[in-house]
Amino acid sequence: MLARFAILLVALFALPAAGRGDELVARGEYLARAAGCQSCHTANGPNAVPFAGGRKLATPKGVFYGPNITPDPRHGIGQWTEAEFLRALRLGIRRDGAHLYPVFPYTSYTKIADDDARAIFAYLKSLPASPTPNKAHELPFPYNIRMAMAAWKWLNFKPGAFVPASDAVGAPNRGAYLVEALGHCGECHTKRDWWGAIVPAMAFAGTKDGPDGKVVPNITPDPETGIDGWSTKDLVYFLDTGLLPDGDSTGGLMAEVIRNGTGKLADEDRQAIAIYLQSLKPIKHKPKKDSPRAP
Amino acid sequence: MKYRQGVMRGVGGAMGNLSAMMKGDVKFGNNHLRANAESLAWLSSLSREAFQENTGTTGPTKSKANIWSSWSDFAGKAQAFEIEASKLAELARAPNPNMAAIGEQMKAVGGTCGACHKDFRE
Repeated sequence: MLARFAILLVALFALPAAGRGDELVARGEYLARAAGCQSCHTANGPNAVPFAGGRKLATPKGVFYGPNITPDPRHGIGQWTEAEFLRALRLGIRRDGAHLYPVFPYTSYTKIADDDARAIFAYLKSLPASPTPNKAHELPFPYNIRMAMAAWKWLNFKPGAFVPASDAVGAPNRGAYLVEALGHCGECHTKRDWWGAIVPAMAFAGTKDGPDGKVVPNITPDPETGIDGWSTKDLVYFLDTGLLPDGDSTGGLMAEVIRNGTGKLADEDRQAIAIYLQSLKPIKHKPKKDSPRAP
Repeated sequence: MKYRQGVMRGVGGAMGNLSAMMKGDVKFGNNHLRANAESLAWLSSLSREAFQENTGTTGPTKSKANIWSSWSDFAGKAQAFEIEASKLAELARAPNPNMAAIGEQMKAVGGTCGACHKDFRE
């Protein structure tokens, strides 16, 4: 009887705690999707372990391989503390103090709210640990010198939390947060300068030098070169399915972003993203490859 | 080459119509849902043949040469499209089409489009 009572007592205390933990992990999973972590941190191919790294990302500065962010103590983030994880997101600093390359979009993640970052950390820590070793990046001089990133940051990086627009409430602000902080859309949809830093005046207006050498389209509401012709419904449907209004479908990285990310978000969040994108200042810019390849 | 491009345009037309129905941009009866899904499935069954070697690589095309150098990979991806499109047609053929299931199947079809375009389209 006493034993049964003890079990009941333990259950009473343990359950809500476990419930809270599960809730945090579930919230973290949702936010990790919104932040698009999986696409860059998972190798290509059907047998790749999610979040165990190995994905090749070719950029104009060199070839990067997304690292393992499962809780493996040796190859993953098993030994990372929450504070170290938050510092990586905020300041682009690795656990050992080395500077991270801005291919890891801390320039956007710096805006992620602390509670959201903690939830993402809890989710990553809940994943099965995978002992997949990391692949070294293939970078030419001077980018192979990590210390050079200190100078890069000094010139190009302003850490700081997301600041909602004072004149916007509800969906537009949620959309701004999803696009600017978690979704880091501008990291691929904006052209970069000689330093490899995004050009703020051209935010979201696309680039001819996107990841894997692809042209990335203008997603500002410009009538000629952007998404002015898209309705909110078109954008929401695209973020859900990858299908464009003209019946075409997206391939490449955006297909992954949709499959692992925006396609699994709540409809209200897709709506918020769409509304925010439609509220951007239109920029006339049609990214094109320099010399068209012989057809 | 013009022929295979026509097949792809037809695919895009049917897919665009189905998307517009799913979004609620247009409201037509189930006969339209069926006809577009059926024509998508029929056209998908032509895609492998339409892209055969002798269909041309010069001129205004977005087709990449690796279609023919990696033909088995291409054919596999085209076949995946065929399979998913025929599942979609089957769902649309039902007396009372399950719109939620059709919406999900649209994603599956779109996934096969994207997978092939990613590797084989400029």
